[in-house]
This record gives sequence, C-alpha cells and structure tokens, in this order.
Amino acid sequence: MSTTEAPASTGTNGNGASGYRWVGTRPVRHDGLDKVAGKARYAADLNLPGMLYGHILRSPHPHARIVSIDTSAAEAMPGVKAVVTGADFPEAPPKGATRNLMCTVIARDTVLYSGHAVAAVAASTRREAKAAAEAIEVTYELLPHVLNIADAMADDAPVLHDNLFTRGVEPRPTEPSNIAARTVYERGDVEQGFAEADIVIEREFSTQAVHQGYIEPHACVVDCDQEGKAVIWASSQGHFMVRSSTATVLGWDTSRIKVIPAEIGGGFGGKTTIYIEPVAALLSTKAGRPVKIVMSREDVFRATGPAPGAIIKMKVGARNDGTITTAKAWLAYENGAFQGIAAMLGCMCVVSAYTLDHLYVEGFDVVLNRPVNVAYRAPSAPAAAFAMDSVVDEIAARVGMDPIDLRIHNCPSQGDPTPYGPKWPMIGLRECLEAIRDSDHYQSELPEGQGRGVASGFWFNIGEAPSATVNLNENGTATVITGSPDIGGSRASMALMAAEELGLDVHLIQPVVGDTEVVGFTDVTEGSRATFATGMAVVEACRDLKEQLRKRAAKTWDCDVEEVEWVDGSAVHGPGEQEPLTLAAITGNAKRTGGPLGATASLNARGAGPAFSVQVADVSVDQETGRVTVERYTTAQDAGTAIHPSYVEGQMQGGVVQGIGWALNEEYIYSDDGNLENPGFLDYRIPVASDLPMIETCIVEVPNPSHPYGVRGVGEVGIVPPLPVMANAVADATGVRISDLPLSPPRVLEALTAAES
Amino acid sequence: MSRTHVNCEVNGDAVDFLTEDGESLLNALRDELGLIGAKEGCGTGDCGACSIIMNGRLQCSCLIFAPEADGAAITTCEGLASADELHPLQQCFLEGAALQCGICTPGFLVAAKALLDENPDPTETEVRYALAGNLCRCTGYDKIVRSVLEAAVQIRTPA
Amino acid sequence: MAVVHFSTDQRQHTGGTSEVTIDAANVRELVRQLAERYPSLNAHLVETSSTAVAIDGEIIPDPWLEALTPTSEVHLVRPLAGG
Repeated sequence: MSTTEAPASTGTNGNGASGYRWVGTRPVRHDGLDKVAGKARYAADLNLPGMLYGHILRSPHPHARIVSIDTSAAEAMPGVKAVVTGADFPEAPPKGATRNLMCTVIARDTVLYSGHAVAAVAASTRREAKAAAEAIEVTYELLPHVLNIADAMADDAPVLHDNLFTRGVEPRPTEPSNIAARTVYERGDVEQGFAEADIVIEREFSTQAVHQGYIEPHACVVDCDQEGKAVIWASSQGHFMVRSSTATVLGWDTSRIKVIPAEIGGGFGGKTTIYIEPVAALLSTKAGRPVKIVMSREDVFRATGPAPGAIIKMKVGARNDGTITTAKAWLAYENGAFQGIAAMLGCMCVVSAYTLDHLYVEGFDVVLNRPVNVAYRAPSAPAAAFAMDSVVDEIAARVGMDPIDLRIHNCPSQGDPTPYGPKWPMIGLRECLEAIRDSDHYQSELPEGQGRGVASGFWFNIGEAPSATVNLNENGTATVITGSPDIGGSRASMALMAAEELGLDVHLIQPVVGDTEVVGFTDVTEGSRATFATGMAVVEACRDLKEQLRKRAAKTWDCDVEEVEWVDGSAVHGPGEQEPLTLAAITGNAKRTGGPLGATASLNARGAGPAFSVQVADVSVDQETGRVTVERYTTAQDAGTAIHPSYVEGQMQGGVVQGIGWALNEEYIYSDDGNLENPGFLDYRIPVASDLPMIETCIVEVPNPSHPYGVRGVGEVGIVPPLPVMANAVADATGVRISDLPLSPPRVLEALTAAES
Repeated sequence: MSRTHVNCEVNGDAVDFLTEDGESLLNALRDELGLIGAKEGCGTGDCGACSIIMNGRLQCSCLIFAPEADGAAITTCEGLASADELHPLQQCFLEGAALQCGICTPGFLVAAKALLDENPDPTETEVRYALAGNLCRCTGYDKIVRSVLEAAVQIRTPA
Repeated sequence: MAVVHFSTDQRQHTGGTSEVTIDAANVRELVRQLAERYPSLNAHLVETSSTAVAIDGEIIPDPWLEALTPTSEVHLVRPLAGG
C-alpha cells in the first residue's frame, strides 16, 4: 500500500501485469490541455450574437395553490423580450413520470416546494431579466406543508397529491396519502432467524438530504429558429436525455431539437435530468432570439435534486461465532415533491454485502414539500449501508471478532442469492475485504487517542445503450466519437481501449463527444456505465475496423484475407511473403482499396458487474468542540479492470470524500416555514482540502467476464461506505455510537455530553 | 444606462472595456474580454472557481466590482502558460490527473500559483490550507495536493 | 422454458405462488404467458414499471427477445437508475 507518496495506488493494475499495452496505463487525458488552459467551454461559457438572458421566478412557499399570475408589469419593463408561465406549456398528464418531469420544470396549478419554478423572463441583460421576473405578480393560496418523513407519513398529514394511493399495500388504500409506495423483499423466516441468534441488536438511524454539490450550476443556451428547430447547448450527463426530456416537456418531436454537449462541470447523478432547457426554448421561441439561462447557486440548492434523507430501523441477529442469521429492516426515504424509487433502491442495497438465510426488508417512498430527488452516486445505498454496517460493527464488538473477519465470514459469493432475488454473478467483495485487511493502514497500530472504523458498500452498476463511431484518418490516426459526456476522464478511457484494439499509440487517437446529430443514441452517463457500456461500443467498432483493415491488406497484397493477421497495429502476412503493412500505410492507400475506413457500433450493453467497496478510516474527535478529524483513510474497490488507473483512483477518492461530507457535515436545513436556510457553500459546507488527509486507494481487479476488458464501472460505490465508516470510527474513538447523521460538531458534542452525564 | 470605462492590465496586456457599475469583475472578464477560464460556481466568494490574482493578491473575481479593476494588474488562468510551454502547475495537474470535470481547475491553478509565488516550498498542510478556499467536488483533493507539491519541486529545481 | 420467481409484491397477483415454470423461448413469450395465467399481474408490472428481468442474476433492462433455457431463473424487476 502507498502512504502519502505518489503514485497513490497499489492494486493489481497500473503495473503492466495485465499483458495489455495501453489498457492500464496513465496517459495525459486528451481534453486536459484545454481544461488547464481555461479554454474548455462549459455550458455558461457560450455567448451568441443577440443573445438574451433568462431568469426564472421561483416560489417562496413550500406548498401553495397558484391563484393567478400577472405578467403585465414585467412585460412592460425595459429590455424584456418574452415572458412565460406554466400556462404556456402543454398540459401535463394527471400522474406518472412525465407529469413529474413537466411539473418540475415549471409549476402548473400548485407549487410543491420553495424554489419551484413559476414563471420566466428573457431580457437583454441579466439585471433586466431578474428585475422583470421579480415584477411578476403571483397570488398564492397557502396550503399546509410537510418537510420530513414522520410528518408526511402521519395519518393527518397534508396530502401533496390527491391522486396518490400507496402502491404495494393490499387492499389498495382508498384514501390518498404521501406514502407513494411500499416495497417488500423477504426470504426465509426472520422470527426463526432471531430465535437462532445469540445476539439481537435493534437500532434506528437517520440521515439528512444532501446535494450532489457539482461546482458548475445548471446552464444552457437555446436558439430556436423560425422553422421551429432548436439548438441547445447544455451541460448534462446525457445530451440525448436533454433532447428527449425537452421534447417531452414541450410536446415537441425530438427531431426539432439538436443538443450540443458542453463540457460538464460535475454531475454525480444530479445532471441526469433537466430543469431549464424547455424554459429557455420557449422564451427563445417567443423572442426569436437565443436565450441563456444560468442558475444561481442558491437556485441550484433550492430547486435541483438533492439525495434523499432517510429513516431506517434495523434489527439484526447473529450467533456467537459471528454468523449473521437474520435481518429485519424498515426504511423510509424522502422522495421530494414527486414519487421516486429511493426506498426501493435502499431495500435492494441494505443487506447486500451479507449472506442471510432470513430477511424481511420493507421500504416506503414518501413525498413531501421538498425538491424532487435526483440520483447521487449509488442512490439510496449510502443511508442503507450506514444502518446495516453500524449494526454489524456492534455485532463484531459483541462477539469479539475483527470487523473485517466478521464481514468475510458473512460475505456472499457468485451463485448466492441477492436480497432482492436473483443470484450474484461474479463479484469482488471478498477480495476488497481482504485488500483492506492486508493493507498497511489496517495492519498499522492505531495512534493513541484515535478511533478506527471499517465498512463495506454495494452498488449495482448498469449497462444501457451506447453508440460509437470510429473513423480512421488518411494519416493513420483515429477519431473515436461517442455519445457519452466526459464527466471525469472517459475520453481518455475510450482512447485507451481503441488504442489497445487497433494497436495504435493512444496519442494518435482523438476521442470526441459527439452531439445528437453526429453520433448514435447513447443513454445517460449514470450507473457507472460510460467506460463499461460506451467502451463496449468503441471496442466493437474497432473490431469491425480490424476486419476491414485485414481485407484492405489482402486486396493490397492480392491474397486471401485468411492469410492476413492484425498484430500490434499492422497487417501481417501469415505465409510471410509480404512486409507488414502499418495502419497508416493502409489508410494512406484507402481510396485505392475501397474508400475511407470507418465503423459504427450501437448496442445494448449487457452484463454490468455489481461493484463493492470496503474502506477504513482513523479519526480523532475533539472532546471540547465535537469536531471529527479524518486522520487517515484507505479505500479498496473492485474496478473489474482499471482502464486508466489514475481516473479510477480519482473516482474512488472523489466518492469517498463526498461520503465523508455526507457523514460529517452536509445537510439540508429547512425553516419551519419550509424554506431552505443554507442554500450556499458557506452554510452548506462541503469538504475542503484542509479537512482531509490523502485518500489511499487500492484498486481491486476482479474482471467482469461480460466486458471485453473486464470493466466493471467505478463511478458510484465509493460514496457508500464512508457514512458507516465515519460512524464506526467515531464510536471507536469515543465509545459513543451516534445513529443520526451528520456527525457535525454540535451533534457529536451533544452525544459526548449526554454520555458523560 | 451609464457605463464606466475601465483600463487595466490582464495577463500582461493593456486592455479596456465598458461596464455597468454594479457588474462583477468576473462577468466583465468573461463577457467583455472573453476570458472564460474563471467560472462562477457560487457568486458569493465561497467556491474559488473565479480566482484571479489582482495586484499580487489572490481574489474571488465574483466579489469585485468591475470598475474596481481600473489601473489594476490581473492574472487569470489564461495567463499562466507561455507561448510554447505550460506552467509547471498546469503540466503537473495534467500528469497527476488532478482534474476530473475540470470546472474548478482554473481557480485551483491560480490559487496554487499565488501560494507558490509566496511560498515556493510549502508543506502538504500549507498547500491544503492555501487551497481551502477552492472547492472541488470530483477529486477529493488528493491528486490536486500532490500535483501542487510536485510543481513546487519542479519550479525550485528546473530541469 | 424458464423458472420465474415472484417477489412478495408480485405474489399478491399469483395467488401466493412464489415460482412457476413457463415454457417460453424468449422473454416476450414468457410475459405473454404470464399475463394469460395471472391477469392482474400484468397491470401490476406495468404500474410498478417492472419492465426489466433478471435472468440468472443479470438484470436486463429491455429484455424482449432475450432467449430462455430450461434452467433460466427469471425475476421480474424494475430497471435501475444510477448516479
């Protein structure tokens, strides 16, 4: 294991042991120079001639009926070119995902959270647009609101949607409520499991809503022309999603919309949906001019998707030998203003790092007057792991077993049933546990006065549909065009896989993120899927090209194609009668042998491999202030194969630090009147450099058999373990177990004081 | 609407622009001068994405009114590289994979330059505190801190 | 041919049956037969957006033509989202 000296990683890759020439190396990323030179264009960096600025008016109330909107004063203001309200948009269906999207973009009859978009203005300057938006007169009839799970689930709670009847309860309720759905997973007989247990531990946990905290606010420029076509420049996790979602909200055909992906300044799941593009499109249509909308940081906090807070009750039984026999879990997740699947995902994840004969997991998705949830790195899994791995830590202490050994003892393997039904494919949890157990960090003596915590985490990873086009240029270089936005180095990983396939130097490959009209449909960059799924499309296109290259060599040599092999970037004549032809020699001659060489692959990426991470931290706790300081941190994660190890480490480290922020500091704080009290980075404090040590990484590589290079996906699972890791480390340091996050100084101090008295 | 004429030096060039009195220097740099390297992450001086060096001091350009720049000497991210060579900080950020999405990178580079101008041989802790006003949500800061330390070595001991 | 396993929620529409063997060559055919056998199950699957299947442990979001073998273990699940 490394300590603080670079390189930061050990693991099984990055050392050439894989036998690959390019995969597993660490070239400078192709888009890097623009980004360090300040030239890279993010969504807010584009200005067009004649461009107007849009400003969105947002509700100051958490729940209210819109009685009337008077835009006449705004329309008369200087510089104002267009005003829109919900009435300018197509009617939303009565329920379902389409309604949720349409009514999130702009409220119709009712505002459901403070910050909900109500109307918008386009004007010549930012200030004119803001002043005019503020001059729009909205008359509200205030409705009672609910801000937390307990209040929202209460029998007498004010109901957000009068057509929402709890799903998953039989008989189906006849009264609407805020409980959107109930999900149950069960196996065996939990009561028998508890009867067989020597120890039963029952605890209740809570976590708070947090924001993804990407540094780039949502932004777009939309230019609609007189023929009804729209060009959208926007940063997102998927420009095909921007196209389809914008079309849905506006009731337009997708062919009217072209989306050009700007560089994306962070997303972490938060940019898998849209907020502003349809508003800018309608303003642009009305004004006949391009319109730019850039959200303020305050609006990002108030109106874009947080990750949900949750309440989780765990009851876990174990035998004295460390075997966990049974678990019963009750989970409730905030969904925000519209129904989501947060609790369902939490139910699927909560005990996934353990083999259990008996389990009963019941989850409730709850709507309340907050902005609607959006995915945040392994959505729902962190809170679930916080609950289970806190209890597991107590069990390890009670039976006197090392917490890693206890986890290995209960670790699932390929063929074991998952808690949600299907069997596990090949997974690397055991290898991650062993990597942490054997790490320098875990083997080192804990410094005096500190506490040490460990935990594990699970996330699915997903595949979905990618497209890629690879063109060989006349000078022997290649252009790799994909539909996946590069959110953290994926251009480099696409180029590395193409380099490996074609036998071409990675620096001779130009990876490009193509717009919706130059590359085939590609799903959103989510679920840790870009390098996995889009990489598969790149590999498939390159393999097609290799066949073409062999045929061109055969034509050049006037021989049978079966006599030609592709070896290290050259066509080699099997019988040895010809000098090898390099890729450049073939492309330079391409017009004579049949024309330019290019290949396209579009597919459904199958076989995404589940991801696990295991982490350990040492912390110290200031007894006078309650401040928790992370002294040392090590993370092990199963990456399948690390294509570019530096960016795999980066994903691991970034996920860990987001998890540390969730555990120690971050939380949405609402006033009783339903307004967010900390909508800025001063009061919503994400970790800064001086809060942290180096994050040591151990890339575990259990190759995913479904991917040509064994890629598993690395983007998400790293955020899962830090919540229980921090709680377990603080418990070890202080002897006090805190089950409500965040472990902020006031809360820790309160717990320490309570324990003393 | 009256506009103010501002003369200043940006990245060694004498420049001038017109601006509204209430406009931020950040917006003037981006919209009037086309220098898009500085970003608005918060507009309240909390994230450091708009960092510039003005008259030798590290500043958040979102907190400065554009007319205040009259007569000032300003360095932005675009001014770090020479015609034929990147600044060692830029090169170390590239080689050390110190950026993921890259939105915070210009601000970090400027803040790190301000640090190394003052303190060419900082400890890890000094780097961490000097960069504490710059938020990065992607990297967990590990590779940023390593890259700044490596750049400091390279600047002190040119090849 | 495949063995379909029903979740707790789905069992409310299968008369409590937790698994059933269906003679189908692919998922489209399997879903058609399930709809005939358990009329209310189909509406439940649509309402819960359970349009994906897991076949032998692998979750497949758009499984229409996915081939089934006599030993295939099938779970009807919802396609997942992620960050």
